[in-house]
Amino acid sequence: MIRSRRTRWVGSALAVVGVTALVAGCSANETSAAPDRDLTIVLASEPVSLDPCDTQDAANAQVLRANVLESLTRIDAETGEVVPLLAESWESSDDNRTWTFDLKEGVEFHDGEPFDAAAAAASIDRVLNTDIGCGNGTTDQFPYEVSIEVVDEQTLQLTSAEPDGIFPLRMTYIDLASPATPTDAKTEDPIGTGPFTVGEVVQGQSITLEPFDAYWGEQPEATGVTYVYRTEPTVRASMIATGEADLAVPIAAADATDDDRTREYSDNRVFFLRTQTNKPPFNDPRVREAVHYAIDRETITGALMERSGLPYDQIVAPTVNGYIDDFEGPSFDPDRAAQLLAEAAADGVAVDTTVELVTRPDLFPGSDEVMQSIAQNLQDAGFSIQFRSLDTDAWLQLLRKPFPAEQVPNILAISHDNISGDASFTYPKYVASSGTNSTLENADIDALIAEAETKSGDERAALFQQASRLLYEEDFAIVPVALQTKLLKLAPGIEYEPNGLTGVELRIGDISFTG
Amino acid sequence: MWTFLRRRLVTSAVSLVGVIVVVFFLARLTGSPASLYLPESATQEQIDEFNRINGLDQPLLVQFWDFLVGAVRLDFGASIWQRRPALEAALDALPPTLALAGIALALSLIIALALGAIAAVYRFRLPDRVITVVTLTISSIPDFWFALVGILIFAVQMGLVPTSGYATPAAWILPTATVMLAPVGVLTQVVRGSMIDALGAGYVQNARARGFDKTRLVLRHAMRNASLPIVSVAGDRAAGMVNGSIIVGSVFAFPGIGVLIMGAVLNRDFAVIQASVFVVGVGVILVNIVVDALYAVIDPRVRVSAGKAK
Amino acid sequence: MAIDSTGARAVLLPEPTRRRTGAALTFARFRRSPGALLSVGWLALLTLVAIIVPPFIETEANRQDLGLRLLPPFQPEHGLAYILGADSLGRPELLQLIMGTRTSLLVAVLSVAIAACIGFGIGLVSGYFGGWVDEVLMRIADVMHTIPSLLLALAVLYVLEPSIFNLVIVLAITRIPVYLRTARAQALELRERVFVESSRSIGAGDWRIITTDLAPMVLPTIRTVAMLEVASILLAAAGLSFLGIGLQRPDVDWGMMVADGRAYLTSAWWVTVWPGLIIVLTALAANLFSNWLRAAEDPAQSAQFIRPPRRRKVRA
Repeated sequence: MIRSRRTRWVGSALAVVGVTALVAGCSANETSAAPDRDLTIVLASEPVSLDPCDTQDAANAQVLRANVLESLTRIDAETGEVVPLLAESWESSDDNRTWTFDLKEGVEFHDGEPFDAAAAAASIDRVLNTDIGCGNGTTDQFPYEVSIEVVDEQTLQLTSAEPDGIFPLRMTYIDLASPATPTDAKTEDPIGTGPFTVGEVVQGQSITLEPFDAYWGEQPEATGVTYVYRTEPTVRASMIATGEADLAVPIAAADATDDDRTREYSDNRVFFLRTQTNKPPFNDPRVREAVHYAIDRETITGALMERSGLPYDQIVAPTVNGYIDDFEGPSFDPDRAAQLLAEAAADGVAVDTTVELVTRPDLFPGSDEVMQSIAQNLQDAGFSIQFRSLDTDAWLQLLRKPFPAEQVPNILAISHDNISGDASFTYPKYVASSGTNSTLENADIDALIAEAETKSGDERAALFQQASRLLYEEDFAIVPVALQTKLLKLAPGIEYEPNGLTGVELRIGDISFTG
Repeated sequence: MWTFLRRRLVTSAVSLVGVIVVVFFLARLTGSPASLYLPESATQEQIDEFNRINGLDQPLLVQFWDFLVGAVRLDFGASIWQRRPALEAALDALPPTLALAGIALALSLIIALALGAIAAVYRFRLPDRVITVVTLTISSIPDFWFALVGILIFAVQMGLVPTSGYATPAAWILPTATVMLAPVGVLTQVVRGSMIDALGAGYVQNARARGFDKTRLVLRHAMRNASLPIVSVAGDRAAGMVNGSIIVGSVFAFPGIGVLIMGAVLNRDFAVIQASVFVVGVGVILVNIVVDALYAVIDPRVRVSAGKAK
Repeated sequence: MAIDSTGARAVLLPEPTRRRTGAALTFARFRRSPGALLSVGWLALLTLVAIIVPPFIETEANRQDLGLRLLPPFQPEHGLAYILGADSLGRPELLQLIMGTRTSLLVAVLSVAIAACIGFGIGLVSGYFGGWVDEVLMRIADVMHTIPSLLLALAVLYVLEPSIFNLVIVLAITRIPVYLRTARAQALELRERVFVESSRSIGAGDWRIITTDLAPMVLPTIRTVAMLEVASILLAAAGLSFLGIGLQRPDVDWGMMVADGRAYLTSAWWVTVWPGLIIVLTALAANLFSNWLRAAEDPAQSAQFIRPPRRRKVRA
């Protein structure tokens, strides 16, 4: 063998690299164990905006809400009720139009500004009335105009243009920021009242939170939090195993363990399919009904959505007031589906038109397999299906109005969460014919929804339920598939009990250290 | 030398402009960002306002002109995705990619030169067969599979390296190895092939027959002539590291310009796409100029003929 | 030049084997080389399977059966189709691999062929003519090279449909510069050689020189690069599938199978290992065969095919 100089160089170079790597690796492992009370949380994606008025987006909210920012009211995860936060109490006028909030005293923003009615008013006004494109103040959350009045230092009065039974619930969506927040542009630096301030932000890499010593409430156990992002579910789960992270959310079912380190939580999320009622062949309700019977929800959720989905036949979770108790939707019956298609075909409906089954790769972990399974079900029933997995933007084009005129008839996969407990955050958008994501054109359902919005309590619920019944038993435009749960993983020594809000509000205050 | 350089810069500027023009139109083919950045129930007015603020409501040619005017001043606009100047985002993402590419390419070259030379000298005998099979196998492994398996074995099971990130030197090992997979195989084969050619050339046979030391022949004479194809393939690989960094960036959360471009494409951030491609384009041009200069250094005939007009 | 055993008449003996029986000689060498036989055998087998088998098994290959999800391999009771196990939707791995063979080979061969032809042709022209022709063509190559393949892939596969044809176009366009640069470099070097001068001096036109003199000399390098590129293309397609912008079901290729199975690396190794293995073996076969072909056709390397006489141990 030629003992050439080159070989010797290569050999020693490799050895040097190798040894350095091992040494660095060993020391890296030691130093990477963070000081006891600092948390590292690994998420799937980076927040898109740190502005306080953009927290309707789950990625932004998970980092900011309850940690950096707080709102007047909040939803209690256990009971689902609206409870006080920065507002100590409130009362409404008889017509449910004017709401008066008594604000907490002695609260300060991170920049030292006092929290009072004027500050709250400025913040609410910024969300609702400026045109910087705040996500928190859209017609989804606030369908009616709101006027704001500062009564005195600790009292704020808000008047809605229409009677609104769930106004305090809507106020959970508005995070309050310091009056110093610019009103003509979005900000990168959210200044709220929460127990943490935003420290270092490294674009694409991490966000660090530092404790706020003058917090009015109970300081969380953690003395600092760093959020990092990993798009691969396997990598997120691996980081728990190596000790690089204390909490990984969400993780895929394939990485779930059977011990208590894996926790499940529900964010009232339902996975359903939306057909187009205005394009043949879906303009015939029998064809839409056939889709319901064609899908084998039991097998699909059992095999592919272990611990993350249950077969479901409504579009809202049981905690939402549009839910109908003991309702039984269509079960898996491919013969009936084929029969319905045959009936429609006999009447001249072109049931063999190629239909696109549209989904996104990141709809939920494992969604691709579920959708392929559904495609198979539909094909077995007699549909002609073309599978299309689109990136988020392309999928959004098909999701919202205005729909592209030349699109082929499609069935769109949607995963929608409603943690508010009220159907008005789902139905007007997806079911009413004026809804931005709705393909329905059903006047009866529209009337019921409109009426329900003006009522409250049981009356409201009853009306929503009637609308639901029409949707499930007569219209068939939306095909529910599964009620979803999500999974997260905890490192040893960390204790956190997730709840229905974890997906949009991961309270560091709820995380404790046991070791 | 200077005429060569000057001419190259001018023509490279032309191709850079070409790239930017093509990318400008290509990016806009992918869709429009409004739906991604506005909440679901945004009204048409809000969509129009968004487009107006970001200059997307103008006719395409007007947008193009504005863009060109800005590009000349190196102003590529603001990123709607990251809310900072697009060029700043691109320049921030460049150093990790350069470092990763540099280290990976250097290591790959060293390994390829060593193994390729051995394989050429011992061609068709056992060392050659082993080297060929091993290096080709390595370069045929899907990079994301290797990355994920690497994490599972070396990070999770053995705890030698962190799973991801880029903060510590140890975190660079798996990403570098992943990026090296393909170049090692290709370069070894190219080195081997052109070394075989060079060793087979008449003057080399001649020298061997006259008793010249084989090692010196390999290193000093054959290597030099063999290096033309090596240089061209290495140059191609260097310029292509951007793509290699996308997988690495995606799995290991390793920052870089490849992953920035991917994020910009998915987020329909045209400004960052354009700025990043510009930065990459400048890099590729520099690499090409270096490659061409190396050709001229290695092979005097190229130097002469490069000056010839036809 | 053959050197006969006496050595004395070395210079005068003509070269018998190569000149008389070019192709036949190559074939004879082929039969004697196990590496080449195996490689070509594998590639031929794949091609045959890709052409003949798919129509017969297509429905069976795509049939999902959640009851057989992630079935482990080597369980004969489920039949031959499931001998390599089943994937995450219960489809038989073996049949999926066969369907994937057709797609992967088609994509790889077409992409490489298109890119190689275009790159080779333009590179020769560019290198031979030099001057402004060279400059312009190289700039165009620079443009093609710099455009990120991902952007091109997204634009093409989004605006048009993610079909096999469009995937081939995308992959081909992004790989043209490799061949172009290699061919150009060799052409630059070769055009100064004596044999080109001599062709020119007997009145051969430029195009004739390019096609008759230069092309055959550059072809082996291009062929080597092309064979190496087969692996590149297979992996590039896999990478696109991993990122979510490759082919869509029911089209399936090996790379997509690896990408789809990545959630099951530890729990069901067979879902990613079989397609990964076939990618590696195919790329290896292509490269080994290319190496061998080069050696067999190059007189400078023909020495390897002469079996040296066995040395008999001399007993004292």
